[in-house]
Amino acid sequence: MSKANNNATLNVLVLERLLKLFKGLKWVINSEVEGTHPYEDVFNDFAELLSYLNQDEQDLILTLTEDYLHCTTLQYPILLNQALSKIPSLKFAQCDAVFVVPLKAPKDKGKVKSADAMLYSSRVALPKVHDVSGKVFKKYSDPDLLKEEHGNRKRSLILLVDDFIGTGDTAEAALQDYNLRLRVDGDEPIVVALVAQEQGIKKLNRLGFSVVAADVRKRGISDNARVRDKASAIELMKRIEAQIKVQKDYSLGYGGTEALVSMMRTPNNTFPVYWWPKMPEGRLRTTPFKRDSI
Amino acid sequence: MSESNLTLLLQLIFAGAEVRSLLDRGLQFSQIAMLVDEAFQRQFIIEGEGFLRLTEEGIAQMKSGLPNARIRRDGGWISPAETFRIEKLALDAVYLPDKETALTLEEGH
Repeated sequence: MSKANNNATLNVLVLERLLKLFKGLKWVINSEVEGTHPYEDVFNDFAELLSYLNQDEQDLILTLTEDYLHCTTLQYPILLNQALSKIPSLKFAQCDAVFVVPLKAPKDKGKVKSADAMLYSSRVALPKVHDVSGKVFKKYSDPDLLKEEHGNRKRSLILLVDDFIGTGDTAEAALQDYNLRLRVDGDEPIVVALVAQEQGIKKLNRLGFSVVAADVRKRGISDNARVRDKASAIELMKRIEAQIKVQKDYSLGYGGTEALVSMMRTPNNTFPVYWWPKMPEGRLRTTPFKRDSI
Repeated sequence: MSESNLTLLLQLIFAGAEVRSLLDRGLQFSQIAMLVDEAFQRQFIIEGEGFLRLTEEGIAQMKSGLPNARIRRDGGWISPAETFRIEKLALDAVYLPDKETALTLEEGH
């Protein structure tokens, strides 16, 4: 359990506002409430983070966090069903086979990624959402097996799954590889994500791929109706990032995504204020959401 | 101690102060937030646009925690340092604090 830094303190009003925020997001901080993800540590870490910010900075972070999406593992099955339901039934009616593979870039081959975790649950969830009876229906953790075992396939729905799409860069690499080495005539590829940033979807659409996602997210400041003076807010966020020496590539989230999302792991597309691991002097930084590496 | 913590919270709200005193008592931010919740439920505080204010009941509760309900001319008060409160000893007993506490007292914490 986190303990407040000796220097950390907060005005009661800010703490009260943080409490209201957590209630609004249904992030339950009372750890005795059954069946809920415990947010007590997140609350304490969040409060400590705020204690290092001035009033304007606190106000910005509290405002942005009203739109924060935290997908716990409890929510993954629900979001998966929602995403799969967005695939038109006609696609299933018109195909002879359905293949589910992880959406992974070639550089990640051999590594265990969140897309792999999605694979098994997709295989289980799909028949509950769409009729796949009478069809070949397989999942492959190695997409190369599509070519090796089903190189002669016809009229096949190819579902490429992952939990989160940010800029779309990783997905693009995976899809280009698919197009180059694995795709055959008659394939109907569809990208399936639990959560996707709008810019990532648009990128994949431009490449000619359909994308379905349970939740489509906009940029946290630039597209946010709650933020009136967006330019000032961006400047303020950059000032916070300068204090903690965020690397340039990750400013406003990787690719400037301005994401306000945490999945099983917080993507680096999310504003680094929420997860950047270290202070400039090297000591670990208390953050409400974690990444095990940059 | 919980009632004492709540009273201290009300004092901090009255003074527009930060929660350092409650953190020094070993509370976490989440526990202090629960105290704020309790203060609302017991109608000791109300919320306005950008402020929290004590109700009459809240002021009474706050004063109940002050020794002899004394408030100085400047509106301030001195709250008992609850972290150093010990069980009442017999008349002829001698209080020997442990080393850590003794050092803390020596530093005038």
